[in-house]
Amino acid sequence: VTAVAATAEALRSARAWQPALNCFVSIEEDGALARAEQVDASPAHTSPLAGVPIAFKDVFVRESGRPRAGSSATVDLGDEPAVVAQVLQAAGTVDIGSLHLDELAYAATGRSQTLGDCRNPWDLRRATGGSSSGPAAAVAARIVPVAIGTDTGGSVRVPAAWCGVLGFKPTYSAISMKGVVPLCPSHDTVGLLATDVAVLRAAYRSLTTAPVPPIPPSPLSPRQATPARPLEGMPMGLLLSGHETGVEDDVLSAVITATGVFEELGAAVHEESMADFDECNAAAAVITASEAGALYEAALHDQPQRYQAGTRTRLRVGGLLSATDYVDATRLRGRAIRRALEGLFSRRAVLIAPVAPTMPPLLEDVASASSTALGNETSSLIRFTRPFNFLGFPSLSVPTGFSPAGLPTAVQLIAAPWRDELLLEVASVLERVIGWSDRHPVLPDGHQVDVRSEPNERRRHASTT
Amino acid sequence: MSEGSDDMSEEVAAAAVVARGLTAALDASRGHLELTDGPADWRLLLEDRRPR
Repeated sequence: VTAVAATAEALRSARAWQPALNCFVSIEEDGALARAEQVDASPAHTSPLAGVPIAFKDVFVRESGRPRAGSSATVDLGDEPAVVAQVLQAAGTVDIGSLHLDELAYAATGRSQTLGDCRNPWDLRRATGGSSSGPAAAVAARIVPVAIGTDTGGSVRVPAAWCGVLGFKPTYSAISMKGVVPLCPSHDTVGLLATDVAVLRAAYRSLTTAPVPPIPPSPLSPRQATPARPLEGMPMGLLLSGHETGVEDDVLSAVITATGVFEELGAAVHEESMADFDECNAAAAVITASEAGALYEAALHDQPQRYQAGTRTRLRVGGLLSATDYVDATRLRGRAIRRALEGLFSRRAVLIAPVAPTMPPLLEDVASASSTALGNETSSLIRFTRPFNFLGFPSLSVPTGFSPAGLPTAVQLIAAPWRDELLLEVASVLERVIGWSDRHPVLPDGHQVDVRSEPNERRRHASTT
Repeated sequence: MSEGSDDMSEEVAAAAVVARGLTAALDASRGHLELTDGPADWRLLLEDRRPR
């Protein structure tokens, strides 16, 4: 399979799914095919990503233009493509278009007045989650094997969980944010969504500023791993006790099932609690509101009607907080990181937690983008993910299978800062056991899109032709 | 007052409620802070661990 063939297939799949999902903001056919021809004509591309079709949440400046961030308001970042877009282009990927999101990435539902709602490929009546709604839907529908998003409080992990794909938020600052629409710069992290760990790892390694490999040795890595028990001796913590209120049964069941699998694979799992879990959420909310409010204050003043009502309300919150609130929240952040490193993460290599507390809801049951209630709903949705933006620790949403109703389930894995590769390794073990990527969503007319060539296979062929 | 102004007033009121809630939640934790807890500590703690 050549880059042109893989790209043509991705474009065909994008066109077929778009009316059902509304996951693309733009599908850039001509540019993608021209780019794919360049990749095929360049034998210098030895990257494992050469010829792989990708797409970007519409917050990245790309060669084909500026992002709109899901907003009717002006967002001006200049024309220089984001570092992420440049690096992935140099690695030989083929950018096929820009993807749906919540306005300014400041919600977690995938509902939008500006773009229309994004729909979940597993059940078109249901929400994708957000704010990286389009990336999650496009990867879940097997349009692209990897898509690029951003995560400020859970914006990669929540939609990944609801759409049944991997969603990775690396350690804070592991990937450049240059050329990306900001929301809360001290939490914003470029994140990756993918169908399988191999392509996720390849994309992460191409983008991270941390040296890869070798993986820095850790005293908490498994020491007696065997093929049957690859996690033998790995200390893992289960973060659930004391935080179950409002967590749906299917979510709890998925976390407990995954914990059992980890134990069968040799991990030593112990229940843990984070005494400052609520404190982390409270301080993170102050930081997000303050930074977002400051960044967009002038734009909101100049063109308030161009923002959706829900966004306007949340942007106004920051201006009502004090400088003391913001500084105290950042002071609590250092304290929380120190406590996590000296406590929880000195005992446990990996923490297991829910991603979103609920399964993907029906769109009609989600607050609309025009609702001032959207903020409260978002805060509840991201309460298991936002603390790890606050701490800056790497965190990965991993599919665990499907609920009895056929909806995707997931578990969140968290590690100490810069232990990103450990999370990918644990996820690859779970992937081998569970094999979530075998099951694909089906187009509503009953005709499954022909995307049976696996991304690994496609990539291997693309890189050798 | 126009309908648009009413909407804006409602949004400002809703934002004020959220802001008061955030401040109150933060108040529950401020007592844990010590004078030596600095606003840049978080960044230094992460950067100190960055593999080189």
